[in-house]
Amino acid sequence: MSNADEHTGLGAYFLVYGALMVGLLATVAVSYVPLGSWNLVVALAIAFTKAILVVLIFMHVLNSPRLTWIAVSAGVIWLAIMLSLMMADYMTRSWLPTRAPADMALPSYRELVPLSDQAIQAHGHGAGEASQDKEAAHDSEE
Amino acid sequence: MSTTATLPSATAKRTPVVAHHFDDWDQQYDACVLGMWTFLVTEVMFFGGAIGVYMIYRWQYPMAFAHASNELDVWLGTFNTFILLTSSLTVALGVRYAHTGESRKVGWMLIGTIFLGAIFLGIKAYEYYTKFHHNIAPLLDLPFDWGGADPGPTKIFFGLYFGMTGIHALHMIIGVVLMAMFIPAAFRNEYRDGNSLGVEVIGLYWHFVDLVWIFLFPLLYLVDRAITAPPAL
Repeated sequence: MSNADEHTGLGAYFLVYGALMVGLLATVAVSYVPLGSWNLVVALAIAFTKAILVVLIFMHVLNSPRLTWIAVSAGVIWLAIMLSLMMADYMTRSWLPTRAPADMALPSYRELVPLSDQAIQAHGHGAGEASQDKEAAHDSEE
Repeated sequence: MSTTATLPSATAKRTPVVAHHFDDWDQQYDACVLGMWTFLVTEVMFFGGAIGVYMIYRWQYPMAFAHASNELDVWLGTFNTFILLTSSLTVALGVRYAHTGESRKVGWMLIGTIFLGAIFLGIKAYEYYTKFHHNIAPLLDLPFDWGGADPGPTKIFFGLYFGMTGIHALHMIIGVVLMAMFIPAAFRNEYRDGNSLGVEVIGLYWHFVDLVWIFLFPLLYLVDRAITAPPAL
């Protein structure tokens, strides 16, 4: 009965809940402070702090056997691998001297989603850009 | 409230029934929790893929994402986060009552959690409605009218917004249905022996839904509130 008997005290739950509320207010407040790219860093730091509190206390991982810790860590580690390798690909594409920049670049949004007739009429621009994109694509293929 | 009092200690807890393929309750408990965590890790990777798409496009179009994010209602988002965090507390208390064998309190906590989840989904539906109303829902070939700069990347942002909050809301609906299935057993006093595994597992699931929202909220609603006036429409 060890698991069922190792109750986290009621106080711990309300303490964590209070901390989550503080984190929520802090993340909203900080987002209005102009910190440049640090805004994202602070927001994610607060989010990870909240997530760790939820996982350890609300989800009882703190009192769980090591096998559960391994499973949780595996999730975090594989997610980190997936996201970091993916961004490593995209962020370093422009570092390489490439013979075919048009092929390496992401397709422009216009190539994926052409402007609708309605949009062209409504905003009165964009048609020229679309045709130029097509010409550019043809040029690079040749 | 007297009906929710614990049983007299003389008749207090027996050991929960252990399935025949487990040696004892501890082993059964750990195996169930481990299985649920394995499932949750696959869910982490599922939402991780969506967050990966989000990362690439936010990195490519930071200004468009900032303007589009400012179009979302930060106060509704904050209130919804408050609601969901509170529902996480109620379900955590429900799991604890299942451990201690206070079966009817488990039922009330599950009802409270479902109630809070329904509020969250209602507010979410209202937010969706306003997006459709303003023609910034890139779904079903509906017209997408964005008068500001960068309509294309903005459309990507709203696509991600609907996609990520949509699968999150779907997970919440599933969670609400699953929790509702545990309520009758709770009021039949079936958790009086600390037979908490079902509640434990649905609690883990609900906390996971909460975890996803903890990340979605700053990523979608708070991209860059500081830099810009709202985009000119």
